[in-house]
Amino acid sequence: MQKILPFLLLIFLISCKEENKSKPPNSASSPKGDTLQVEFAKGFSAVDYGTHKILKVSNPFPESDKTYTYLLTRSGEKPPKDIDYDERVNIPIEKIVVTSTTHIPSLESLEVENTLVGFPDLDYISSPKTRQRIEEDKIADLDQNENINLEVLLSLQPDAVIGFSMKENNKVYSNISNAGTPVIFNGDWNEENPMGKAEWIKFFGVMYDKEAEAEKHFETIKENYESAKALISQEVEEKPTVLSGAMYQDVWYLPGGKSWMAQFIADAGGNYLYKNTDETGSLSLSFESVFDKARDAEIWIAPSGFTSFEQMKEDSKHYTEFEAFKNKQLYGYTATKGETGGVLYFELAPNRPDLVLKDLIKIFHPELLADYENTFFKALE
Amino acid sequence: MNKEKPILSVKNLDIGYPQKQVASNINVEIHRNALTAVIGINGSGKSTFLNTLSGNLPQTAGEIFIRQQPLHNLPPRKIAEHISLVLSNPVYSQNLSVYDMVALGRQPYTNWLGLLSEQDKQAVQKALQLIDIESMAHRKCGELSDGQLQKAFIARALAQDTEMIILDEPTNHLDLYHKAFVFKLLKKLTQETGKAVVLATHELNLALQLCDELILINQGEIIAGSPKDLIQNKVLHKLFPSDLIRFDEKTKSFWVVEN
Amino acid sequence: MSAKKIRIYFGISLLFLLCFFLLNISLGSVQIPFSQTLKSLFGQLTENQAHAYIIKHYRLPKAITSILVGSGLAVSGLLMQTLFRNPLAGPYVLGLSSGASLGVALVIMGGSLFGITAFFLSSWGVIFAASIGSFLVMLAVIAASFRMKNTMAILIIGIMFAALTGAIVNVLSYFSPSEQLQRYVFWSFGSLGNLSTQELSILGLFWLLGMILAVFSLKTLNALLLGENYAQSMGASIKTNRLLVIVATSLLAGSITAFAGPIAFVGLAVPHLVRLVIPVSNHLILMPAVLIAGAILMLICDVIAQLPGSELTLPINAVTSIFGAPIVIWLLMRKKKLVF
Repeated sequence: MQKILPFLLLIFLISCKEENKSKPPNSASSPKGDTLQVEFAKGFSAVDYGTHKILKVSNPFPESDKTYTYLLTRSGEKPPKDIDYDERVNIPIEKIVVTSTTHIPSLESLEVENTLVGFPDLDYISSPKTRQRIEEDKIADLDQNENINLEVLLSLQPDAVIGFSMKENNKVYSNISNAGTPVIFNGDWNEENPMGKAEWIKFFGVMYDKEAEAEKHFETIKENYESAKALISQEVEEKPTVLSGAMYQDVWYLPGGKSWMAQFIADAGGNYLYKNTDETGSLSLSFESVFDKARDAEIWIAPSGFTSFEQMKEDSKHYTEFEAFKNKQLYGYTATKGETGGVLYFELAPNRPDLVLKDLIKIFHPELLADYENTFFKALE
Repeated sequence: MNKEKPILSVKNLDIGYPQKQVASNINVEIHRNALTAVIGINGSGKSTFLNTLSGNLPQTAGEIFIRQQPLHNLPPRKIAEHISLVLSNPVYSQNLSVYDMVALGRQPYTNWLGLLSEQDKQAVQKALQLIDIESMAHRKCGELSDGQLQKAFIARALAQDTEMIILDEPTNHLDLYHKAFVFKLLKKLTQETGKAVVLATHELNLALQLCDELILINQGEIIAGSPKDLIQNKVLHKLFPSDLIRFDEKTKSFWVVEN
Repeated sequence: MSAKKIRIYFGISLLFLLCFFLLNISLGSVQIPFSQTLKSLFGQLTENQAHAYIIKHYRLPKAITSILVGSGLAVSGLLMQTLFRNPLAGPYVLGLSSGASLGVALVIMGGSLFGITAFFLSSWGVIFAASIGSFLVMLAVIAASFRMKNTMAILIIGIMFAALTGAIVNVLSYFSPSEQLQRYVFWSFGSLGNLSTQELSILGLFWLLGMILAVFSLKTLNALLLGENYAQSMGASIKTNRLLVIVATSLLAGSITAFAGPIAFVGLAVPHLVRLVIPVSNHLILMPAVLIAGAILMLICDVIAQLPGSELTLPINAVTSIFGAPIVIWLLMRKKKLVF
């Protein structure tokens, strides 16, 4: 039985999915809705039916097929009764709790950062605007993401908690939800496309009735990104070979060929040595195979958390044998920190792919962006 | 009494543990060529007495002298040159060969690695011969019967080349034939090698027949003497409650009382 | 076994050791021709500089680490099994690896709690923490050994330490962010390939010290085959020897855990494998046999962990158990009894 059970569940899931396809929900009561335009992101969709909005989030966890349906209603609105949903949220949101620093730039861009009332481990936040509000004690600290302090959170009475989780069935979030506070999962970190991650600003736009602002903001970033990318396609003939990542013990962890980072490298005119691998996440390879392949790589970006050559040398003398190390062509993002030690890259980069791309173009082809000052990636000391 | 100086002499000895006195005021002498049996019912303190004699357990009062030296001042290494042991409930490694086991008896004399010199090898060979187990020298301890194993352990004690051997119930687990065999063997050893052998045993009848000296431990009291003296003094009559077992002087043996 | 037969056995096993050493060095993720492997080893110039570097600076230290780790753990296992007269004893029964794990867990996962500086997060920091952890447990066990007459009680105390430190590690993991937890989990997988020359020489020094002390305990260990009472009656000083063995094991297993992580199985299994293959119980023969067998086993496990020809690697700790345990089970089933 134990062997059969997962199998049965699988069949059940598949059949559910097909059912959804054949009979889209809400089709009976509100045949027409205004569908939000989503160009790159794969993880969410939204439809405005006038009487209510439906926000759907799919695959907020890796290796899960689950799609969550959220019913968003303004006060006084009476949505049709036959809607199936996981959570119901009153919009526009007045009080919000987010759980990842990547959510904060979106709130700021939409100028709704004042609605943020709680966050797990405030020290990770670097943005000056939000830090200012932390100084004024307007944001409560909720301990760590894995162990959110439920009592403090509930006492804040937020309209919604934006959760993110590595795995399904996160107990903390189900407790919050059971206590009557809606939890909406955010899967921005699961997007593989640089623009896709940035597009999650629209997800927040829906919840604040600010779809237009979100769209506008996203379009600006997109144009910036496209124009930077255009520089490469026109003028670059020689692409430098690129290595990334670093070792822990003797295993080298580096971004896969279909990952977010690999796309940036390609768009910035770099020749990522592992571009032909299929992984969307990270690769873990033996030291010797990386050494054999990438010893002569011209540029080395994002060597894990290292910020100086000295540090790397101390960790393993193998690093010093790489050409990029010898020629000091090493660029990391962990040196750029907020005042309480949060790495700016982790917070802002997903929302500002244009800046990441420009950083990398500046590294790979400095002559193309002579006046540009890098935001995240800095040469190692 | 023997005029020769004793190998071991016990003066006003109290034995026991901090919380529990087992026997007090013991005075005994152990001489060359003597086979001595320590006799007492279960729990009477035979093992405590032997453990104290071999230096494994500190005495609570009095003194034990081995060749005129106080035993408790001697390091284990020195005691090992005077006294060797055969313990009840032997532990051993199954892979250990009889030869190697007997050779362990040479440890007080070997170098820091325990390598055997030519002299050590001769001593081992002699011990094997005395017990007549040369033929099984290369068998493993795990393959031996209880009787064979007991012989091997006695050979090990012989190889240690001490003037005195203490055996704790060496005839346990053995059948009647092997019990008699071990007693005869020990008797032969005392006569041929001049060693003093002390053994704890429940085999009263065998002990009365073959031993030179008996040490009776009865309710904290210790009486020592030759079997003949003990029978004459009617000490043996008091050893067991008379409703069950009686001593018969004519046959020098104990009988179960028939109702 | 006759002396001549033993000499032949040792000759053959040393030859095996050399073969597996060379095999270990010539196999890896990157395919390097054997001729080039030999050339690189003997310092001759080769056409491919990257390959020469891999052989000399990655695979050679890794192979030497494998030998030190495998032999060190196996010998400590042997010492512990004889000292405690318990076939289940291994180098970690004294709680050494739990002590080391606790040290590492405190550094990696408790960093935020204790405001630990960057030094402790470097590889030296982890080694330092592991050494301190196992050293403190060792001191506690030695202190206990002076108070205890019964050696078994020390075994129990060691196991209690393991339970205690394991529980603290659990509490730490429960409260740790997933990235730190992952770092700790990676450490606990064990690793043979990230030792610098400097680290390797320190490990080698501890190994040598431990082995020398072990040799001094051999005579008494032989006596202990007949139990503590007999050993003492043959002139052995039980407490001194106990201390000697505990210190030797701590030096060996403690330093190995510090540098290569808590590597399971080898210490427990190799002495049994050797006893099953060569039927001796004399430690003068057993110890070198266990030493060589441990080294060979670790070299083989490392080859498997490298998954020759693929770019991936397996954690060494998983390999030792996954491939080692069935071998021991098979041997025991075939012989139908545990020889101890």
